Order: sequence, then structure tokens, then C-alpha cells
Amino acid sequence: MSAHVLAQAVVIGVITGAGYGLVALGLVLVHKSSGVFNFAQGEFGTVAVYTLYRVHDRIGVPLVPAIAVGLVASVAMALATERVVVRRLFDAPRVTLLVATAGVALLAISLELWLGEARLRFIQPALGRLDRFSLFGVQVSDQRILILVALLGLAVLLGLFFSRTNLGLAILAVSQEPVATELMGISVRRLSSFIWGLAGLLAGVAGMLAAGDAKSFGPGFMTFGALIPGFTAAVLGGMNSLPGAFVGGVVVGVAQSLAVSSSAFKAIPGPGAVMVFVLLVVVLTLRPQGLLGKA
Amino acid sequence: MNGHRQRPGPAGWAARGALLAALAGLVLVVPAGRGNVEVHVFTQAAIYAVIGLSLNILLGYTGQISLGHQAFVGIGAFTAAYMVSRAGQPFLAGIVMAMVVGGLQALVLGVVSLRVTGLYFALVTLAYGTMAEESLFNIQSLTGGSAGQPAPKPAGFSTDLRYYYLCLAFLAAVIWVDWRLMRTKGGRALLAVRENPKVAATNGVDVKVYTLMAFVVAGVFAGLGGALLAHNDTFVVRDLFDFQLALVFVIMTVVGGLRNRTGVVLGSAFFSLVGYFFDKLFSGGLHVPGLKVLPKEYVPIVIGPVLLLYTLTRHPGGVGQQIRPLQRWLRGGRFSFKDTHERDVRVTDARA
Amino acid sequence: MPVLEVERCSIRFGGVQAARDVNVRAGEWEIVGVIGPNGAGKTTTFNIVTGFYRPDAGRVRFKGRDVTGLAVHERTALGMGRTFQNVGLVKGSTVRENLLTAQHLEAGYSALAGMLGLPGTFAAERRLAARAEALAEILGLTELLDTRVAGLPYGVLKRVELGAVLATDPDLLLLDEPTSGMGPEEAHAFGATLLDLRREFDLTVVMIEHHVPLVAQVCDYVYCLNFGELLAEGPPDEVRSNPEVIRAYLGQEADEVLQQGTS
Repeated sequence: MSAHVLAQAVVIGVITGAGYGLVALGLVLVHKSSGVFNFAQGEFGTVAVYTLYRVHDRIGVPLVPAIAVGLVASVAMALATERVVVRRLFDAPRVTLLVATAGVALLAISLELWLGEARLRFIQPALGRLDRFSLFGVQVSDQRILILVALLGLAVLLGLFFSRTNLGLAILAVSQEPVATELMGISVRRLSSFIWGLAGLLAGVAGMLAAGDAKSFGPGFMTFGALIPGFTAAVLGGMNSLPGAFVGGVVVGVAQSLAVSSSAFKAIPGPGAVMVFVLLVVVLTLRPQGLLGKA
Repeated sequence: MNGHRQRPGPAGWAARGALLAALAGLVLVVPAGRGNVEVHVFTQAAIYAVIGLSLNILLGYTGQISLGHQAFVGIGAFTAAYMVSRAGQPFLAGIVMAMVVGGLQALVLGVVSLRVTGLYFALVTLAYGTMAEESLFNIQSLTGGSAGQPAPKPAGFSTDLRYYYLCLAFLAAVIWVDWRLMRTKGGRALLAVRENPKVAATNGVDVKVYTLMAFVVAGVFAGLGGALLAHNDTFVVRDLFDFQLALVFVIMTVVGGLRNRTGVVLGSAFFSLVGYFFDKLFSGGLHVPGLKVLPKEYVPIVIGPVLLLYTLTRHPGGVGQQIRPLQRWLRGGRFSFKDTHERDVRVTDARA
Repeated sequence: MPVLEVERCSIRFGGVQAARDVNVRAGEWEIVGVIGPNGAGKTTTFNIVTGFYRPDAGRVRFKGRDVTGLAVHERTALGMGRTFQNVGLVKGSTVRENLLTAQHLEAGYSALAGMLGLPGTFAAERRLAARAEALAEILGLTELLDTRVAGLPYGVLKRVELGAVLATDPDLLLLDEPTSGMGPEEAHAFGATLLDLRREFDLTVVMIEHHVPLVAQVCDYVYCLNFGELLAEGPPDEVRSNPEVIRAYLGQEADEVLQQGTS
């Protein structure tokens, strides 16, 4: 592979990786506080995008309020999932919860297929210029810069939140000792809702940015395109590490991008998916705690 | 416990016999009078039952989550289609090869499961399913790419009805093996491994070997299911084996009732048939005022999650648990609603 | 030749030396007691003997053979049977199914033959069922054979577990606190049962115990552990009057009391 192609692949990889990192942030957030693998994280994002589209492109609401409505939708879906599913299965094995959240994802996808048609929709990115600057021939649009900035900013904010604020520390306490925390007067239920709502928000942001970058979206696009790379990123970074989600996301994105553009992989169809799978298995067998996680 | 069990009298046995005869009639005789399209749907129900039983071995008996089961089935389907149309082999060779390939590929995942446990393994199976969808099923020569691969029905069973009976025979064979498995040391070992691997080991069970065995058996049956599916549709297309299908398989097994053979068969058949029945009831699709028409293809994935969540939160034993009273009665016991709310025992890797 | 030899076994977990140079020996048909305060390393030693832990140093010899590298199920195949502190059973299954599961190595057919339903397997299953019923009879569990283990009272669970471990046809029985939760009469009755079982099944027994009278009643030899090390060993009476042993159980206060008593 020539240096130019390599550089291009890395740049693209960093950008898509940032998107995966955003998804991973939400996954780590939920796992860190409740041990749950949230398979519905992708669909929270898809729902936000569908809502945004409906409200902005179909009904004609201006962009900014429409974005807000979209985010409200994903937060609402996340809260509903927490209420109806997670709380009921609070004591159940974590695997049961995993299957249950996968069920939520499937329900969302089926409704999208039913009500939204099984095809891609094309949108115009709302943000500024498409070619703010060019890096190794890769157009870096405002949209893409925003993804990177969003990821970094959110990762830092969340990191600070968990280590500096009372609420953040309370969430960590709940995950380790729910009974003791409840006795100290902190409502475990309220915290749980807060966490899931936050995860919904993160997913909504990730979905909108991803759709904006790809200039298209379809039913289940976040689950099909970003959930598994997102989980791989989270595992790679360390399932309980928020900065790890960022690192993991970039690594997965770059690895996938290199696999796709590498001539060595030409013979294998779907090299990106293969690379992600291999990465996941390698990390889990060699260093299960992830790069930044504790053993 | 109650005192001496009363055995049913002749009338009691006659009633039980009549019910069983009616069920047998439903399965064996009714389809003979229906059109090809309907028989094709019934055949799919029988094949789904095979797939459900295969997933139950992993999920129900061994406690291993498989969110990529559609890949096992798909590989079986493409293998059979390839054998028959590209390699010019007879039907049976295709079936056998599909079972072998299914078992081998499941074995690979089984080896991974030994190093990676619980939730993380579930992720791996999901990633595997996605990879199969995007990579394996796109290998042109094997799968015919987007055009798909033909898989004509075997000679001697080329009508839909004959093929239906053939699939029923395969289902019966799978049920036999599942029954014997759970009545002998292999199945008991799996249940022990699922609940408490330390106890299993202390009882002399090689936990690793039996875990792998579960994967292989599940993979073999899934491969068989895939092969039968291929010939039922006479054509295999890769788009069939997607994430939604993986979840439908899990849902039908869980809603059917884990570790309950009859429940799993019923649940799987239900999910296969629901679209068809839906179509008969609301021909053309459900018209919800204000919303678009719900086409029959989407019915399983709309009601599936709802049923799944209902089952997980209210009746974890699924359909199988609910029909226990009936099963007990059929075996000569009394008809009582006791035990329909049995809670499952906590399994050791709960927080995995 | 002793049935069991634990030779200078040591193991460390993180910063804790859970066992250091532990030496335990059990001769044929002996009943050996292992006592010591909580956290002394008794269950750790059992885990080393049965194969759940691999020691950092030392060997385990069973019937003269070095088994230190063998897996748990391999040691069961050689004749080691073991019970657990919090009762090791398949709780989702019935008593009968547990007794059948425990006969895994006695089945006489392969798992493959079993699942295919080959002719010999049906007769084999009948044989296993008969043996399960016989064991249940000996332990007074016949009425409960088809009851799910999960709902049964603790004392009954212990008996079921005993049945299961006997079903593996062991030469060496490693019992981890078999009388926990039992009162003095029950423990005494258990002691008598143990002596009967030893005779009936040709067993050697190593037993972690807290009931002092029971230890005195049945044990031929006793090892006392504390903080992962061997504190004292000998016939039961010797060990129970050993001041070190008393101090280990009672802590510093005993020492002070003794000192005050003599001053």
C-alpha cells in the first residue's frame, strides 16, 4: 500500500473511529454503572435520526429545534427501556438483560422498517462547508471535525463527571454497592434513569453525526453499522474505562479502514467486518480487560 | 406429596389417545389437503423447529448464548446448495456436508467460548454473525453473491408435500436425539456444566470437552436446518441470514421455553407460521388507522420482541412451562395448574 | 502406602499466602480431621488436593501417584470424591438426576452412543437408575428422589450431596464441613453414619470440621491449620489440648487468661 493510500486510510479511520467511540462511550457508561451490555444503544441513535428527519425534513421545523426533538426522542426511548425492561430484570443474570435489550433493538428496527420503509434516505448535511480542509486528499468537512470534537469533549466531560462530581461518584457507588448506597439516601432508581437517559443522549448525538457524515441513513443503520464496532471499541479500551472508549474507537476505526483499503485483503469480501471480529477475539483472549482497563 | 397416584381409567386413556390422534392428524393429514404454498409454509415451521432445538442445546441446556445462530444455519444452507448445484452431488451428500460444516464452524466458536465467557462471548457470536453476513456469505463461488445459489428439491421428494414429510422425518430424528441426549450422561453433564461447572467437574465431567460437544451438536443440527431450508425455498440468498433472523431464532427458543423440547418446537413453529396466519386473518396486511399497512414479513419481528420481553419478565419458562399441566395429563397424571410458575435456579456466572 | 499425601504445598493469591508448606497424610481407611479457625487455609488445601488450584510449590500424591498436574475430573476418575461447604449439587435438577449425574464416569457408554440411543444405553441407564435408588435408600432419600433439589432443606441437601459423592465410587472422600448447621446430636449421628459408610464402601476420609466432639469421636488423626500453615498434628486428644491450637481458636485473650492464671 502506498504511503498516500495508507495516510488516507488512517484519516478516514480516525473519523469513523470517532463515531464508534461515541457509541462506545454510551456502552461503557451503562456497563460501568449496571453491568449491562446495552444492545439497544445503536437504535437509540437511529430513532433520534428518524425523528429529526421526520420533524425537520417532513414537517419543516427549523434545524436546531428539530435536533432537540430528535435528542428528546432518543432520551425518551432510553428511559422507557430502563423503566420497562431493565428495572424489571434488575436481579436477572446479565445475559438475560443482554437478550432483552437486543429485543428492544429488534422492536425498534421492525418499527422503522414498517413505518419508515426499508430503504435508505438521503440527507444534506446541515453543517457548513464540506471541504474545510483536506488531509492527504481526504476531505475533512465541518461535520467530521465536529465528530472528533464531540467525542473528545464528551469523553473528557464524562471522565470529569465520574471522578469529580458527587452525582458521578454516586453512580459508581451504586454499581458496586447498591444496597449501601440506597441506605445513604441516594435513590438508586433515579440514578439508573439518569444514566440511561444520558446514554440515550450520547446515542442520539452519535447517530446524528454519523448520518450527517454518511449523508444517508436507513432502518437500523446504527445497529448494523456501528454497534459491533462500538462494542469492540469499548472492549478494546476497557469496558469500564471512559477514556478507553475514545482510544478503542480510534483503534477499531483505523484497523477497519486499513483492512478495507489494503490490497492484501482484496480477496476477502467484507474485510472490515472480518477485521473487527478478529480484533474482538484477539483482545478478549489476550487482554480481556482492554488497553486501559484494570486486570 | 399426595398419596398413591390414581391411574386413569379406560375413558381417561381414551380421551388422551383422542387428543394425541387429533394432534397427529393436524400435523400429518391436514397439510395433505392444502395447496403448495401453504405446505411450503408448514415445512418451514418444521425446519424452524429443528433450528430451535439446535439453539436450545446451546442456550437452554449448556447456558451458552448464541446471537449469531443465523450464520450456522446460513452456512448449512449454502453448503447444501453448493454441493447440489455446483458440485453435482446428491441431496443426501449435501445434507451430510451441511451438517459437517455446521458442526466444524460451531466447534471453532466453541473453542473461543472456552477462553471468553458469558456476556463477552455473546458479543463474539454477534460479531461472528455480522462477519458471516458481510464476508462469508459474499464469497461469490460459494454463495453466488447477491444472485444466490439454487438448491432444487431431491428426486423422489420433489413435490412440496413429499418434501414436507421428509422434513418431518428429519425433525423426528432430531427430537429423538435430543430426547436421548437428555436421558443419558451427555445431557446431564451439560445441565451440570451450565449451572455449576465446579460440581460438574467434581462429578467427573470434563467441562471443556462437553462444552465443545454441545457446540458441535448444535452446529450439526443448525447446519441440517439450513440445508433443509435451502431445498424448501429451492434457492438460497444471503440477505435471508441477517441480524433480525438471529434474534428471531433466540426469541422463538426463549418464548418457546428453554430446556423444554415441546415448548421450543411449538415456539419455533409459531414464529414461522405467524406471518402466514396473520396474512389469512388480515389479508394483505394489518391496517392500523393512521399508520401504514403491516406486511406479513415484518410480523415476527414486531411481535417477537414484545413476546420476548413478556416472557422474560413474567413467564420465564415460556410456552413450555404453560403446557406442563397438559403434558402431565397426557402422561397419565392429573390435570392441575401446579408448577406453572416455577422459578429458575440462579446460575453461577450470573454476573459474567 | 498412604492414600493421600499432600507434600509441602504452598499457594499465594495476590498478597496473601493462603497455604505454606502444608503437609497432610491419610492412610488407608483412616479418618483424618482438618481443623483450624476460619480462613486458616483448610478449603484452600482441599482445592489443591482436588485440582481446583495448582500449588505454587509442593506435590499431591494420590495412591502413590503424583496428581499435581491433573484436572479435577481426572482426579475424580482416579477415585477422589469431594463435597463443598455450600453444598455442590445441580439445584435445578431432581435428587434422582443428581445421583445419575454423579455416576457420569460409571455409565459405561460414550456420550455419542447415549445421544444416538444405541441399544446398550437403555440397559446401562436402567443400571444407573437402580444404583441411584440404592444409594437413596441408604441415605433415607427414597421419598425425595423426584423432588427438585432447589427447594429442599439444608440438612437434606447435605445428605443428597453425600449420596452424589458416593455415586462417583470414590476411594478417598474429602468432606468440607459436613456437619455445618447441625446440632450436637445430629453431628454425633453423622459420625456413626460416617463409620458405617467407611466400612461399607472401603473409604478413606479427610474431613474439615468444626465440631470438636465429632472429631474426637471418629478421627484417627488430626491436622490443625492456622494462617495457611500447619500448627499441630496428632491424635485428636493431643491436638485439642495443645495450647497453640487453643490460642489459635480463641485468639489473644486465651493467652492473656493463661498468663493471668499462672501469675
